Amino acid sequence: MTLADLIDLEVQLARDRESDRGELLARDKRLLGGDAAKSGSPQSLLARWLEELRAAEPGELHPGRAVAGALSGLRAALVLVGLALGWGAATALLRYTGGEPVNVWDFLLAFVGLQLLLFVLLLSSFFLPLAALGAPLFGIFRGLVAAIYPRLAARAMGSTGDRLADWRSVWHRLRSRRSLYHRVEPWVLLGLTQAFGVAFNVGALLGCLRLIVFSDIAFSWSTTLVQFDAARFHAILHALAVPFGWLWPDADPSRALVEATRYSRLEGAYVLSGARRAAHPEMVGGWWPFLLSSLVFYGLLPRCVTLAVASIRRNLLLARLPLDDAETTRLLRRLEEPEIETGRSAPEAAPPAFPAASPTSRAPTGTRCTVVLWRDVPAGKELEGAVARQTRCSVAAVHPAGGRDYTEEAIDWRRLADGTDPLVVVAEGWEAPDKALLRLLSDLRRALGPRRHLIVLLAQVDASGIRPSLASEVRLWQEGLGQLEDPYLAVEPLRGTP
Amino acid sequence: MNGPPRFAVVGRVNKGKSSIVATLAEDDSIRVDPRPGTTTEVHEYPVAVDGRTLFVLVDTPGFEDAPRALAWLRSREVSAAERPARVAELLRAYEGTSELVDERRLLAPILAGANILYVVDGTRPFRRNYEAEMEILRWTGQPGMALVNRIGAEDHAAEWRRALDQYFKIVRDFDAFSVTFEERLRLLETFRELRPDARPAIDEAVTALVAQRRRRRAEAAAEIADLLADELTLTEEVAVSDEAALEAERDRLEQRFHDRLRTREEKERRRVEKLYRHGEARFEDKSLERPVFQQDLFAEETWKLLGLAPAELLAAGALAGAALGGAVDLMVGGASFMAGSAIGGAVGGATALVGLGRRFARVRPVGPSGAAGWLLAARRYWQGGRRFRIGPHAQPNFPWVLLDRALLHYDAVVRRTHARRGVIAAEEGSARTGIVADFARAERRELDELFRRIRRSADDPPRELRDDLERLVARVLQRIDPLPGEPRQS
Repeated sequence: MTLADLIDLEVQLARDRESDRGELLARDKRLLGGDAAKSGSPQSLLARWLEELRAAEPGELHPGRAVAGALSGLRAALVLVGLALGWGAATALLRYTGGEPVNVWDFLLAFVGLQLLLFVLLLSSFFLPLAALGAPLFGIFRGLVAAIYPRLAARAMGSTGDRLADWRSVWHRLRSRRSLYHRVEPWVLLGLTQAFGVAFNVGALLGCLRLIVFSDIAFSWSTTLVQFDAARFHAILHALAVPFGWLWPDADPSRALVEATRYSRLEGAYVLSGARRAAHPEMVGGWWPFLLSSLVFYGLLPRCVTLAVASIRRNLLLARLPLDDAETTRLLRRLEEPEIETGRSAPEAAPPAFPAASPTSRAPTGTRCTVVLWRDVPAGKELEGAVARQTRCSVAAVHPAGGRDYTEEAIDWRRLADGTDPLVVVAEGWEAPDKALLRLLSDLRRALGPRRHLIVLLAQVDASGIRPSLASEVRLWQEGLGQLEDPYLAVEPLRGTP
Repeated sequence: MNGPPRFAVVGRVNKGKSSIVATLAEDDSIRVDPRPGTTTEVHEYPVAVDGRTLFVLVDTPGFEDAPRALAWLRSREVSAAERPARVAELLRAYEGTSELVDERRLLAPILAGANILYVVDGTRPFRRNYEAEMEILRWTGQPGMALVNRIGAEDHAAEWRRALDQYFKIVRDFDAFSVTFEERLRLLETFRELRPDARPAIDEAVTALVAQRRRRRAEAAAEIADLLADELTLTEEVAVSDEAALEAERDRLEQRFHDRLRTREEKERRRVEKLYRHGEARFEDKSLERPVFQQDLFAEETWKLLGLAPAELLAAGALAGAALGGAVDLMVGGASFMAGSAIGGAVGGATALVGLGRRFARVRPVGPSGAAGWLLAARRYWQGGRRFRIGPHAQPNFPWVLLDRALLHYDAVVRRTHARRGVIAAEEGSARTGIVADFARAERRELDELFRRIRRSADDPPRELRDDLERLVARVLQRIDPLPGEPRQS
């Protein structure tokens, strides 16, 4: 995962926060197809997902590459500035117009001493707790970025528009999520500063080479301290030259060179020469191998190593980000796990229209009734009594219908119901008024003629007795049988045992 | 038959076939209606993982005239081997007529190879005419299982079982209206016995369903954490030009602030419902299982019944303060003789005590506290304009009430099957009905500390606080909706 990916991931997570989860799931499955699990590590899966998103939604804000590009631009600017400063510093320190020779102390203090000090401080900020040294630096850096970010974003996006708001919210979100990626941040910052450091030393090296090759420089060293003689100075220089002296013997200054180039400003001459000019012109210019080697070894090389370490470390940390925060974990689950769909394949048709409930039938006038027990309603004296009480008729005959063996086809209803009115159908209200019942009622109407009363009594019949059906069930039956449009058909609850 | 295995849900009209399909397919748009003939066509509900259909649930119209169809089948003597062909003959014989329409429609997918899921209502007594349906299904020669659904309140399951056992090798109870996720999975696993060659597909579907459920729970935790973080950091500001307008502006500001809190809570609820695919059935009726969470966020009863009791709040505040003070004691190596814990506990308890009785947030002038605030207020007064702010809501019980309501709502959502429609009877209960009151003390302390920290950083709450909150909420949701294979939390 790259820095650009990381930034885009955060922006996408923020954007998806308000979106519908189902739509996100569908989008991601569409983007990755069915082989998300084959992507290997979570990092590579996320990188692939982001790549697909960038391609699929070019209109959305994906600032990762822009920010990475801005960082590259900043690095390039720092390199240019470093080169110029290094070149300028070398030119200033090695400035020689034929008067006073160049004091090697100045060169060593500026390009070796100061650089080593800064380098040690830098290392300390990484080895000591960040709160002690590093954090204030990062705080300054963050503050600086926070201060210039809105202006940069406004300049990039124009002063108004949703995009600007998007960019601002990106900054806010990255800031609030900082703790998740705080390990990466120092190495990004270190990479930038060390790019400057390398460029500075390269600039200084080139500046030195230009003066050494294209002009003559007389070097010297001096001191006010009487005890600090050439032997001691040589010892220090020899120690400094140990790391590279074995590779380039000329870069380890000889005792003779040190003694020959001690300079006295009081006399305006090298101490040993005793004259206005050096006795050994080949000696006074003999410092450059040592000085250049010191610059390379104590200035350029540590910066190069740190730059390489920062780059490698940053990339390693980015590649090994735990990505275990709550939001990313949920995202990875969404991407990796199979999505199960259980919905309908085609839209359901509109429900059938039910007619209004059947009109109330006029009261029957007969004294005897025939009873039809629909769908295995248990027969019995209690049931007959209940029907008789409710219809005020004696029960002349009881016939089953709608049972397992479909016997009603062979029944002559006209003969069976002869001389009785009404004909009562007893059903259990929890059963539905189905098509078989509608057919039975139609058959009965055909057999009995248009004016014989048909009463459907709804009950709950079980071992505990006979109870009337629920009002909701009766209503349902009235609606269901209403489609027969029969004015002599009534639907009522059977009142049961008094 | 080619293609994925099919399971046709068949049975008498109004015995809950569509309810079972709605529950299994998590589709609350399936029409479930007490009126007969609601399902007039065969509908297929493919269960697909990443676009691959593993198996198909088939919703069918109900049997309406089975005895007549059986009589037709029996009108000619055939051997057992010829019975499926005889059923196919029935379909052809009545083709193009208006006779036995539903029987023909429901039998067609079975003759095409679908397995049978025969649904009966175990709360109604068994009647012999049902044997006609079972007999017809047996004539098709397809393997089948019976599901004893529960639509009413009575229990006739035992007599049904005695009858069903004679026709089906597998008989299971399955209450489509209150079945749990685990029971749904168990039913799917039973499909493997019905159709051994579908075992890999069923296993894959079960795994995917569990993963999906886990994902939904995590998403719900995120939604609830977002809700809490947003509501605990919400502020509103208003500028007034003269003192006379202040009172009116204050009321308006308070009302707007509380409306925004309500709207945010509503949004979270809709999103959680949508996560669990409850798009059609809204939790709007006041008589849901836990009725309190449906009342207004700032209703007096809500605050009486949900969240923590005053004593619990004081204890939570004191514990959180004591924990902070204890850290100071630790830092000084115990030299403070535990004074840090004592003082911290006292300050935490006192803070919780302040404003314990308030339900509504109050408007305050905007600005820093102390002398700087006075100076700023004086300058604004001199300039003739004042800015007032309301929020974040400072009442210690506010996050607990909010969390309780979110958890109760979540509980109702995950328990509600997709077969349920309309009003659901409420459970009686006058005592505290919330969930947070049952939290362990350590969990309460952790949450209380998080609430405080989020409120303190209301201007820019760090993400990790919100993430910590999500983790804690996820832990609670795991207790409410545990998944197979997960350790049970107390």
